[in-house]
Amino acid sequence: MPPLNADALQQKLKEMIAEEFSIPPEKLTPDATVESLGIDSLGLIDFMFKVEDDLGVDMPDSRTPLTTLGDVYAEIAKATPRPGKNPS
Amino acid sequence: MQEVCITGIGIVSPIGNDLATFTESLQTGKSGIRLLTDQPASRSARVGGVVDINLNDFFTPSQISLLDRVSLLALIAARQAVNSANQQATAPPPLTGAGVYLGTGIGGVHSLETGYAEHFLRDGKRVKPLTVVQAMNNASAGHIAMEFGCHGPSLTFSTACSSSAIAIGEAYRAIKHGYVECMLAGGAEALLTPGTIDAWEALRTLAIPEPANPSAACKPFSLNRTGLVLAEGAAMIVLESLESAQRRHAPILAILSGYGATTDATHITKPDADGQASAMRLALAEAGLSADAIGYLNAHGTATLAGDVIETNAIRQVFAEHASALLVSSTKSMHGHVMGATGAVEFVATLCALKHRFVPPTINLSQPDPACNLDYVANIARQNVKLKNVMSNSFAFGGSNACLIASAIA
Repeated sequence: MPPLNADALQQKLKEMIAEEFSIPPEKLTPDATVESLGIDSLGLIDFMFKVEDDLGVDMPDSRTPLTTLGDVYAEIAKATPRPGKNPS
Repeated sequence: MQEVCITGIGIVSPIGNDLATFTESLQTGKSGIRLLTDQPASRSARVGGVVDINLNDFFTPSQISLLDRVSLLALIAARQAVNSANQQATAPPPLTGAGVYLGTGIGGVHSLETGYAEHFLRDGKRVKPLTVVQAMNNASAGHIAMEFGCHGPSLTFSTACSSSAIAIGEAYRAIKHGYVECMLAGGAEALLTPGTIDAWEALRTLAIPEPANPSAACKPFSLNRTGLVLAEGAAMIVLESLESAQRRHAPILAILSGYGATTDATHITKPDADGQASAMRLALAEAGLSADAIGYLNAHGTATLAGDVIETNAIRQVFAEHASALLVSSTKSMHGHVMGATGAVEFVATLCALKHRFVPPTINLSQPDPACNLDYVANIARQNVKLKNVMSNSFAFGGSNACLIASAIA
């Protein structure tokens, strides 16, 4: 799979979040806070891990606070393709 | 000093995932041990006591992905215990101030093993991020406290195979001495992972199943016993002061009357009859009972070569001439060795015996070992046995011994 552009990545993440946390996609706007969507902090960390696996990427080891979905999208956008792996 | 009673029981085990089914299995001598089919293909045949339960009936998919199996089993048992403590009472048990004391030997080992497998065998640099919070030994107690809003002390006891007997005993003391009026206590274990079974197998303590009859692999006190059978499960009880139970008109299932805890301080794995006997004597002393007041003893009875003989000798030390009249059985022959949860599971078995006036059998006992010379209630439950006081033994690697006594309400 070729690298996703920002819009396509955001769309893909929205679909994944909607499914993972059973949230209607229209609520998944960049300014929505993770807390207001009822996403538990541990659940979010677990989700980021799944994103790495599903997209075949490695996320940077950062401590950036992930308050809004926009923060989450931006963090995942920094990911780099995982060496030696074929992204699914 | 407060009198301490049991007002709720919950159980998830290889021989039943509710108290009625568990009791029926004990009465009919049903085995919950079977061949493990999800082990790596290269392994020799293995048996275990597996909890057959559909977790989706109890939890959302996200709960299942966020909690280790051990915590899920613990929560199911705790829910049952609280539900039963609520029945026929005019008010719920005082859970807000209650504590949670839970025993587990190895906690969230499914998560730990999966996390490490990913780390060492796959890309070598990642461990699932929830590994820590799923695997930590006190996760189960934390989740139970959250679900029921218990703000009292929450402690996790890890003394191998006596963990949950110690948890129940210490919870009893916390109420007896007035620190709290209600406790959720018990144990949980879920360790049927390939790595854990490998480690136990390397100790040469696991039973070697007969291909024709794998469910009979655990043969306590039998001459042809070959070792213990690992099992998973959870048992939780609601303990409260007699005053608290009477205030809310709750049916009292039994009185927890005595607890003894000792340490062998002799060997890290080899059991010691003197240490075991001391635990039984301390429990009797606390209950204010003489040895001949005990009608049924649920033995630790793991079916190891050394353990069964040493426990028999310890029982003879304590019970003297009454030993020959005492009914002793190892329910591990049916549910397997639930490790950190086994003390709680077996204490529940003694409570079933007390309430329903029967003594569960030691199944698979067709070739008595001359060195094990007590009445082990071979193969068939004894019915219509008038029981006033029952005892449950739990002994552990590390030399940690615990003994609990329950008594019928006067």
